[in-house]
Amino acid sequence: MSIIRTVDLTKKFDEFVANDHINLSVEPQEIKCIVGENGAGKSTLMNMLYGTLIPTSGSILIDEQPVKFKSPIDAMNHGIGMVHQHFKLVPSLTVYENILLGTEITKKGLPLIDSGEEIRRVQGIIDEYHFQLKPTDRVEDLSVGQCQQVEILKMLYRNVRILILDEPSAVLTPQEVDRLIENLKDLRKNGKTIIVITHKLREVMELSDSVTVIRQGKVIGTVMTKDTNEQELAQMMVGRDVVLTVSNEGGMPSSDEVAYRVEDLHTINAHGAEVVSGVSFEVKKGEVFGIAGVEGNGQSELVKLLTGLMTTTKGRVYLEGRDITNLWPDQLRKAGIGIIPEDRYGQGLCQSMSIPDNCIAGYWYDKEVCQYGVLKKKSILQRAREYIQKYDIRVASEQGYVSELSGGNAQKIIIAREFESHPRLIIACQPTRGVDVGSIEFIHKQLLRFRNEGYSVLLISSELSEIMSLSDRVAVMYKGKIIGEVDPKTISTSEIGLLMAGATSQRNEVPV
Amino acid sequence: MDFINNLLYNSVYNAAPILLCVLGGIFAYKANVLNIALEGLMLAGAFVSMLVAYLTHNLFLGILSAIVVCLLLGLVFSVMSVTYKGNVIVVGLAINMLVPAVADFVLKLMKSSNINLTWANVNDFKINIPFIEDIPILGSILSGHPPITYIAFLMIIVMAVLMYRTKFGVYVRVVGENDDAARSLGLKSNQYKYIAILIGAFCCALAGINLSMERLAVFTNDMTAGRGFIAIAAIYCGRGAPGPSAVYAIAFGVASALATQLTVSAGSAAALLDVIPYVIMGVVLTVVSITKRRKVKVRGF
Repeated sequence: MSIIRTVDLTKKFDEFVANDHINLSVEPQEIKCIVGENGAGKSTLMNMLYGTLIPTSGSILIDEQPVKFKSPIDAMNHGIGMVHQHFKLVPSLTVYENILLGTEITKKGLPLIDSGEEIRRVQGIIDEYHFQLKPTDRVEDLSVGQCQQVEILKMLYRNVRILILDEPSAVLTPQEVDRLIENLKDLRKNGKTIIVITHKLREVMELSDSVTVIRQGKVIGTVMTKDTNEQELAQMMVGRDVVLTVSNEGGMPSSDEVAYRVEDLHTINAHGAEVVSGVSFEVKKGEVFGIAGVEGNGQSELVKLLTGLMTTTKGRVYLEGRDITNLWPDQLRKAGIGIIPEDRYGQGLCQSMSIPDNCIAGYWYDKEVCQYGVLKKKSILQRAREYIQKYDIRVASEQGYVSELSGGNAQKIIIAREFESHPRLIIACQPTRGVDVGSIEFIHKQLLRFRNEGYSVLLISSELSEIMSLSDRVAVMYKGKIIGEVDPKTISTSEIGLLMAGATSQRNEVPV
Repeated sequence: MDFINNLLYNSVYNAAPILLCVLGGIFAYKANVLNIALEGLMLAGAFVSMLVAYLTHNLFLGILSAIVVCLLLGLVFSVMSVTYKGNVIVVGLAINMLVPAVADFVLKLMKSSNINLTWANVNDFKINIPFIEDIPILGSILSGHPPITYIAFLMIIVMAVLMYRTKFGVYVRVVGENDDAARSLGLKSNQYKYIAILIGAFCCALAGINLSMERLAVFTNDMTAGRGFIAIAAIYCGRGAPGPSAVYAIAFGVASALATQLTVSAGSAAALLDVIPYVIMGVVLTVVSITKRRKVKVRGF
């Protein structure tokens, strides 16, 4: 008997069918993985199971009883809890306050909160499930992995039987992922049923009992984990054979000539804390230099420094010998740096403007598209057309808005714009975040082509596999510093994982 | 000595209405609603309490109706800004402009420039605290204030407890900081925003009553003189924490008292000295912003 089952569950957004007659069945005490590409409809499905979206048609059965969820509270009352990809925590509150949020314990006869009793209960549940947390710590001081534990405990405290996790490993170090997998297996032993949404196939293989693959809103198939492998799952996900990792092997060796040099860079955040402290590195010509690390260790700030969005407190940056420290983004672009920013819609594109306008964003000083302060609409459109063809950008209309594009196609506009300005160095930050597998392959190939033409790439990504397969050298950032430089071809994932967690490895550390 | 004594007494006296506005306003601030209607609400409290008391010869009715009217205005603000997601600045401005206009209209109908309770003696409102009034210096500063002034200072503690030690306080902060988190646990976030705004409206009513009825038994239009906006500034400087916000409110009380005291000895330049509190607040705001901004390394474009 299934603990949770959907029958012909369908969700339509206007004409678009996000979930098309989904039949899913989860057995009690199993770990079920739901895999699919971005935009395949995984999140829609989970949001219906958790009551945040209401199905257009079809039904959900729990213990073979049909249920209707109008809000997450209904789902929670039926024993379903969800850990979202973006945590729903309140940073300024403590761990115990977050876990008990909405179910506070008050002192007898008084409307005041009994913090002592709350702390005791939370400590109890932490011990019961062997988590490593201190109830009185503030959430803003916790690591991402710990925040996730708080989210899981929040659900366990509410006695859920079915736990849904949305992309739980996206922001964790390899060690934290291992710990999460252990925790989840423990929970299964304790009688919980777990549903995990993910697109990381390695974890699927390690974690799950069965896998359901979704593509374009339809269930493609359900298989037992022990009867399948990563390659087969990838094929089911994408619908064709895919090269799982584009590798930089076999390309031209990089030269010894230094293209880009960063010396002892420092900066502070709004609270005065030093978030980048003494970062130095060199990028050679014809080289991809990767910076790995768990998110939140100063990579974002480093990129902001290097792309002119933030100013330094100390340190210098040179491009081919020229001092470019603290230049503004337009000056950096003129100096020959292409910028693929971390936040696609925040810094890379303007969603409420047309595709042609976005194709020249940041390059309006180019006389071909703008003269005497007047934009030349015709040549801008001409340029957009070229990009769309050359970079295979799928658009409904050439003059449409960027907001109508999928993540992958929107990212390709940035890629086209930055590469076509013929820079000497590309700073690529999270270039494939939220992008479908097909586009990832395309973007990786573009970066490598650029490298093989003798130019340089600075790649900053929290996607470890991306860094490892593309880079010639990899530096690992931890707490605002580069704590080690490694050769991606010889280092193992667990070794680099240790570095990412702050433990300096003896063997691979390069003397600084 | 007298100068200092009077200065301190007046500081307490002048701080009270702003303090009330601040302590009421911090909840809306924490719930992430910018309530710029504090000024209009306070004026409504001052006006309605005096008008009703004047017409009915009943102080209690005046106070009660002021509170009811302010809560209703607060409700209007909530419905328009929270439920219908109207722009808080526009809605708040509307209230701030509506109230003095109505007051002006009523005063014109009454063919008077103010409402004056000739039968009430403000000295009757003053309460002397036993024991404390006998302490030299301190007694003359702390004792002899009208009731709402005492309430204002007690409110610092009450509001701090409400904000940090009760479910309601936690929920208001959660709603303001991460609305998604609140909704994912079934907290009705709009409901907490409503209550937060209404607490502000209630406190503004008290502040208005304090300003017109208790202190002077006279209402003149625009007598709030920007105190509601000063309160908003104090809330922002104190980031909505009851203690620090109250300190800024009291600082403004001291500045006002200083202006009053200096006016007495200044002669013809007296009117100019009225700007002192506003200049001081402007300087404080600028300094606070500069110190906060100095560490920011992210470029503004």
